[in-house]
Amino acid sequence: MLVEDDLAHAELTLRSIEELAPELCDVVHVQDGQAALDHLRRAGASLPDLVLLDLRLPRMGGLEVLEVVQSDAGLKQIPMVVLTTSNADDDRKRAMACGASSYLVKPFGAHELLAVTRVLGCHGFSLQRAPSV
Amino acid sequence: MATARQSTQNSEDASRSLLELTSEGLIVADSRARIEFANRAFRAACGCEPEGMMLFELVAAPARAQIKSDLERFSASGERSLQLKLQLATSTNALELSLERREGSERLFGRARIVTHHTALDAPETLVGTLLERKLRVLNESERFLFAVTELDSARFLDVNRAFERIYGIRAETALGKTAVELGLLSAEDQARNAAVLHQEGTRELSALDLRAPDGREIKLLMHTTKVGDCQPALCVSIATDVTDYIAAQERAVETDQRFRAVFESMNDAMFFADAQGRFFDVNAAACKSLGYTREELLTMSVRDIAPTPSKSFVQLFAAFEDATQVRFESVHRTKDRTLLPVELTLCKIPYHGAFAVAGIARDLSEQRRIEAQIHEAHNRMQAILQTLPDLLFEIDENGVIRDFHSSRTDLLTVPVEHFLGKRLHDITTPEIASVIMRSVQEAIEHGLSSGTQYQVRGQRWFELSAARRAVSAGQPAVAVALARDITERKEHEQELLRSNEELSRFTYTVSHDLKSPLVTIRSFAGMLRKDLVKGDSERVERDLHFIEKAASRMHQLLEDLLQLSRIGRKPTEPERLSLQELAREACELVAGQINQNGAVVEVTPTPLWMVGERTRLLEVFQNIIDNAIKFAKPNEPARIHIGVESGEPGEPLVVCVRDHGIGIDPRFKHRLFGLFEKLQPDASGTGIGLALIKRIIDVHGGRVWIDSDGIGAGTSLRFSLPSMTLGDSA
Repeated sequence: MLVEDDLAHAELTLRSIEELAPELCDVVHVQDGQAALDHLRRAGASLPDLVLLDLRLPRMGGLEVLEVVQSDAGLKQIPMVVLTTSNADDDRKRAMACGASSYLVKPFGAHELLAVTRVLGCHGFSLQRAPSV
Repeated sequence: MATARQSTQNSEDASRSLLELTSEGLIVADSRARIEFANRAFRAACGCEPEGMMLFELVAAPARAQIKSDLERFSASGERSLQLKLQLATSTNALELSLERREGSERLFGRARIVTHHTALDAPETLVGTLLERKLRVLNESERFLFAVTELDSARFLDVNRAFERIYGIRAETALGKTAVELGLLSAEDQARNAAVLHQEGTRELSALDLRAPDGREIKLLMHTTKVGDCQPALCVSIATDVTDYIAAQERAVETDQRFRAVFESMNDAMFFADAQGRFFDVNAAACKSLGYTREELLTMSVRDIAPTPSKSFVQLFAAFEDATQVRFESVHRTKDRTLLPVELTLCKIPYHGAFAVAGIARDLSEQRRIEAQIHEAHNRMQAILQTLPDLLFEIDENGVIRDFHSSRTDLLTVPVEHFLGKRLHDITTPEIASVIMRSVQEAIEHGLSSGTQYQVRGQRWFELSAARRAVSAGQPAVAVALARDITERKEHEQELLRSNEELSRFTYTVSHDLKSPLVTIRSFAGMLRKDLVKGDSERVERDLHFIEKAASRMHQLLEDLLQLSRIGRKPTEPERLSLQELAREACELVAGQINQNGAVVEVTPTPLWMVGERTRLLEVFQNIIDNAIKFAKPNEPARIHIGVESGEPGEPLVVCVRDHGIGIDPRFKHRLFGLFEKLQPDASGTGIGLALIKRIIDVHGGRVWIDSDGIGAGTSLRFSLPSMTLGDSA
């Protein structure tokens, strides 16, 4: 799942995923934190293998989403990768403290994304664009 | 006749017998004072038979002529009585004689009181033997006056009296026939010298003859020895008295006097003795030094000469003593160079030559006065400093008792300063504050200093306490001086600074993140563009360019917004008094485009409300509020906006309320509404600066802004309040 309000950034991330595994990825794209949580809670058995999460989001920010997911036993095992333009140490630490599994600084290339997904043990994606909220 | 004469004779005999029996001396004399009759008492007093003698013939030689003439005058005059005092020539006695002349008689009648006298000046020969006998008896029996008769040549004692026995401790039987050398009283040399002087001079007078009694006592005698040379063998008569104790006392007196002089002369205080007329008769060195006179000069002066003004006489001063033997008071002395010297005088009345004198000690107070003046000045200076000190300054002891309290800040105190004095800290403040202060005080008492303790009073004012130990006399409770500085403003500034820092850090984070975001887009899509151009994928090229353009214009918009935000409060223009209606109308003109496009309706209350502030900024507030209301109107429904005034109870602030009937706000996200570049709608137009801008402007104007919404679809009410808001009609 990709949580990103900036459509340009979302396009970039989706293009990276497409480049890596065009036929295997199934990506749900939402534009704010609340929508992401709503989606995860509705997903039931079909939870995403990986969540790519922007930090600056409308309504509910990325860090808040991380905290809610961490406090939810049904969701906390999902690997959460934070996507952000900041490479400041403090921001990285804060994100990791809130429960992020990994941290990618924008702009990132397909290979960086691949490295992260490999480390996190996600093997296949299928691409699907979710309706915007 | 014979019977009658017989009877008269009998009566006369009886009268004479009675007169003979009385102890009063009685005489009868003829008109010229020749004694015809004297009774037995008178005869005994005279020591002779006076009948037939002229009265003056009984009187001792020196006064005889005077008495004779007094009596002749009395005889010639018609006076009734004459009082006479007679020293008798015929005995050692004197008479107080009262002579009377009776009515119808030429005779004189005398009554005499007999005054016994022991000096036989003109004693007749007949009395000498009796007197000598008596004198010898007195001498022999005297315990006090030694009497001894020695043979001049052999120096043997021939006669000694009782005093001899007592003083030497030698019995008369032992002493008689022995010499003073043999009795161990004198050395042979002294004895020889004694004899030589007596032979030559006839008498010898010794004021302190040193002798040693057989029992070892040292004895000093005052002795007079006379040679009696007209008898054979020649004799020496010695009369002496024991002056051992007297001389010892005299020596002690000399020592006492020496000790007194030593103290007197070495005293730092001036001391003097003055007689009843105030004349100095002794002064010490300190008196000379402090007054600037020599001792000789002072001893010719009196108390009056050193008094600054003609003062009360010394006699009056004595009266001031009344019953006291000592008085003490402050006075002023005038020195030789006319300087006035403040002194503390202690005067004692002492006996002196049968009258009284004054012993005085004058303590120089000029140094004390100088120190007192310095202390006074220091005290005044400290008071002035304390008055200007913007702090609470107090002294508190280890038991928590406030010993002293100063403050010029009466606004900080609910009761007068005096209220705190002597009170226990626990009785005048809360237990929490009292223990905070006492901890600091204890620390100061133990380590000398304590600082940095902060506490808040009544939830309003903050104080920072510094305390230092103050030296106290032994046995007194330990004391600390504490200074409580009002740091409320500093505290507020600190908190304000903390808030600003947090805000700045949030701002920096937001800005860096949000500004980077379009740059990331541009950089990334530029890369994509290059690849897509190589591939010749014109559709992708178009799409890449679209993202780049959009990012660039977003970047532009963000920078514009930031610029606008940064202008707020930086260069404020002159505040104006503005009406709500005017502001609303002008704001509507500025967003007329959006209003027309949406078909929005803006209603403004007619309630006249005025506020003071920067016109441009307050217009921005209304402009953004209206813009937002239109932006978040329900889809396909024109916005309806109502601008009203809410006034609560008197004293409560006036509030402007802008209500719309738009899509409303999910209450869960209310806390993010005023954040910079925060958007609740991902695809809403704009950067999300609107509410941040409103909040910043209201903050700068000292006001408050908040948003209420009953939820999604229920519309939104934005309210703000400024301290300058007033209701009224006129401009």
